[in-house]
Amino acid sequence: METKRPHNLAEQISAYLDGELSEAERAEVQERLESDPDARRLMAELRQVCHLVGSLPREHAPPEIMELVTAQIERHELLKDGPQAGYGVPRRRPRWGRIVASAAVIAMAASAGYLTFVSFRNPAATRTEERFGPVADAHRATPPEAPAERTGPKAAVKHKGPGYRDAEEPPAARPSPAGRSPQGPSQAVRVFEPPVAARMDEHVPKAPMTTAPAVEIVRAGRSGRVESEAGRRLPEVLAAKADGLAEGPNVQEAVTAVPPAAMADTPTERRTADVAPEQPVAAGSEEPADRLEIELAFGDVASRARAGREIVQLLNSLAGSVVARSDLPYGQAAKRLTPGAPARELVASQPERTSREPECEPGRDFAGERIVAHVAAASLPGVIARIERAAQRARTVHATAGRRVVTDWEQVRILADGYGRYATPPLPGDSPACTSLGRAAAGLPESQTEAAVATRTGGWRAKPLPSARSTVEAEAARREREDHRARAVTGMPLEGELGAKPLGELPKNTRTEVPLPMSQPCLSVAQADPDGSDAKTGKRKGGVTEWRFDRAAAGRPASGPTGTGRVPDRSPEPEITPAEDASLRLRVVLVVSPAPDGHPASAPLSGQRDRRLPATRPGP
Amino acid sequence: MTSAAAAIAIEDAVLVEQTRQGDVSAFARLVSKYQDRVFNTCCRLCGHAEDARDLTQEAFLQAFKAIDTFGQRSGFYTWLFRIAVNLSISYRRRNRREIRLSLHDAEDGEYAGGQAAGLLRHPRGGPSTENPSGPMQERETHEAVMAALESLEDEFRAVVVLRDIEGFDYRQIAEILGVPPGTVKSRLHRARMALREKLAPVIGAA
Repeated sequence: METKRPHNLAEQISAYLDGELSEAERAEVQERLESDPDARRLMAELRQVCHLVGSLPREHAPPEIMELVTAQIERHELLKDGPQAGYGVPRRRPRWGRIVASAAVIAMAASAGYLTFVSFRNPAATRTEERFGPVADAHRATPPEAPAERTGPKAAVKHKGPGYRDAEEPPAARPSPAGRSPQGPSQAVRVFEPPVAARMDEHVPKAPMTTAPAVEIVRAGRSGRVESEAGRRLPEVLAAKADGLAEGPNVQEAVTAVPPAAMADTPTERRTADVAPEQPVAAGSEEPADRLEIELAFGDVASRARAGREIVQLLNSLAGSVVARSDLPYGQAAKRLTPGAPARELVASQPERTSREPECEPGRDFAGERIVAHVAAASLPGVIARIERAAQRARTVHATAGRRVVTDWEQVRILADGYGRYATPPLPGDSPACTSLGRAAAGLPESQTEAAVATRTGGWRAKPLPSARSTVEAEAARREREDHRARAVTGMPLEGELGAKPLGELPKNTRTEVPLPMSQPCLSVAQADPDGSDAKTGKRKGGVTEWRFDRAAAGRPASGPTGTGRVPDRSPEPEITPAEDASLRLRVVLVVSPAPDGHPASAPLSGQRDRRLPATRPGP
Repeated sequence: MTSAAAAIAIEDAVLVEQTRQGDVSAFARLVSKYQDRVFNTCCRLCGHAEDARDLTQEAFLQAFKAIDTFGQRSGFYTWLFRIAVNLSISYRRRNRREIRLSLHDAEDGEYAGGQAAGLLRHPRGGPSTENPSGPMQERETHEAVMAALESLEDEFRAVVVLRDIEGFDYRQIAEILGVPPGTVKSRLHRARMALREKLAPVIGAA
């Protein structure tokens, strides 16, 4: 007992300091303290330890915690009833899942067919007999309370087997559409016979339907037509969905607007209707298999990975409509980017591994700077808007996390092939990389490509200022972060970004320049016309482009210095001297550009980028 | 339980119930209420602000997902801290063998850059002209305490953080860690003895 005493005493003193002893224990410890100087010294030291630990400065949660949690909750709520999101490789649906899905599709088809059939048997449906003649006669010949009809879709599926027909269905009860069977009609069998659907297509006029819908199924077909079932008026339905898609507030809406492809083959009776040409859904549906390429070229590795994770998660949440894969292994493009450093130094920096890299192994997580996905055309606008928001959120979060990151040269480049309605034909002299504004134009040295200079062959070029940051720049960065944070909170894009207006409002066959945020000093980058004619703020004549720094666009007083100059085409080191208080932060947010068949932009990667990044492992 | 603690528990219970009924803003209030404490705890447990931010976020997200399973037998914050502590300990065990290379420069941890950030912090007259030895000594003490904390095993560091930094009592710590109160008492004693040994120079100097 005596040997345990020192240990017990220290433990009791520790608890005594915390006030966690009973009355008897406390009295015992106090008595010991009065008589034992070692015990008193021990208590003093333990008290000091407690004080030292307790005096550590309290860390306050970063302000973006709330935004992060809210965003995660939003995503959780969004995906709660939908497909589960995951990283990296899209999960293969288990076999039983496919079986169940197939059964569900069959059951849905049976239900739709049955309900359609019932709707045609409804006396309220006027002129049905005139339209379908013998079919309507067959309806009349079979009373509504016939057993075959009462069994509904379930029985209809059962009746599909030829054995059933031979055993239970008299041959005379079979349908009698032309060219099918000489026997008489039978409701249950007749409903699911393909020739009936064919006849429906032939005879049903394309006028808007007024029949009350028994079941609402709207789908975008690969033919570019939108099909409706059960007589729903299409224009209203599509307009509502198109509005939702254009705003892009809810991925789930975009998903529901694009039912699984399996539905396109359901053997149900259908009616087709042309979609008004101004419907974005119809326009996007012209090319149903859209290749969506997202290139992340901002910040450092961690911020790109964060954005990539968000985007891949978003894409994976659209399971069935999207197949996402990444092409570049994470970490190979790692660069240590230093704010204010010359672009050339950025490239010279060695890749640096961080503790976060193992979280992003290829095949398990987002694995690169480039994501290729195939998105159903109808959901493309909503998907793009969400991608931009996800990338923006990731940038914002990272920029305010107290880490050293570069946000000066941000860019998210999205190539949406086949997005024909808003397609822009490539201009002469454009390299593949230049089919969108921005990154890595042909002819620029790699040092400038790293800086993500918005450029175009023969057009405008800029480079970051090599000097150290000034307080003005730091203040501008702070304002920019606040803007981004405000956007992350409200979900509203800032003025000038593409997301601020529906894609449908973009001018056709023109490039779209996205101005910088109002708080950001900017360089007005004008695109010279390929034929050398006057452009908005620049002229290109004889291979030389004149430029000027647009102070008005930058929100600067008109009395300040205004830069002008002449830049030879393809000059490797263009000299652009902005006003002294302007940091050349070119920020191209989003450009949807065309990729016509055969155009080099359809290639996975341009050579320029391949040189900069090491060889890649193919994505899963 | 004091009246203030009871009031907090009741308020939390109301917010939890509202969250269960689909009111996300109620959960946002819970986040706002506890984010600093959870973040500070995660920060002291994992030793890295970046990781602590992610862990805090994950803790709140897990709490939201599991809010329906929260039986209200204990306080919400106790339950939340249990999630956060478990996440932090798991994370630390998972990443124990990793070599951490900070992206920060030793002399410059600010996003906006060292000089510029310094100028922004002292816009009118440059750096503070107060006696620099005081803050420097204090910082050294804090670094020593942090290093001593870092050297503790996870379970010992957890009890110290929860007791001496967050001020939980033994019963609450036992709930958070899922151990008997006697274990809390024992661990706390051993942790403090270890800290006393490691901080002997600091204590002696004081």
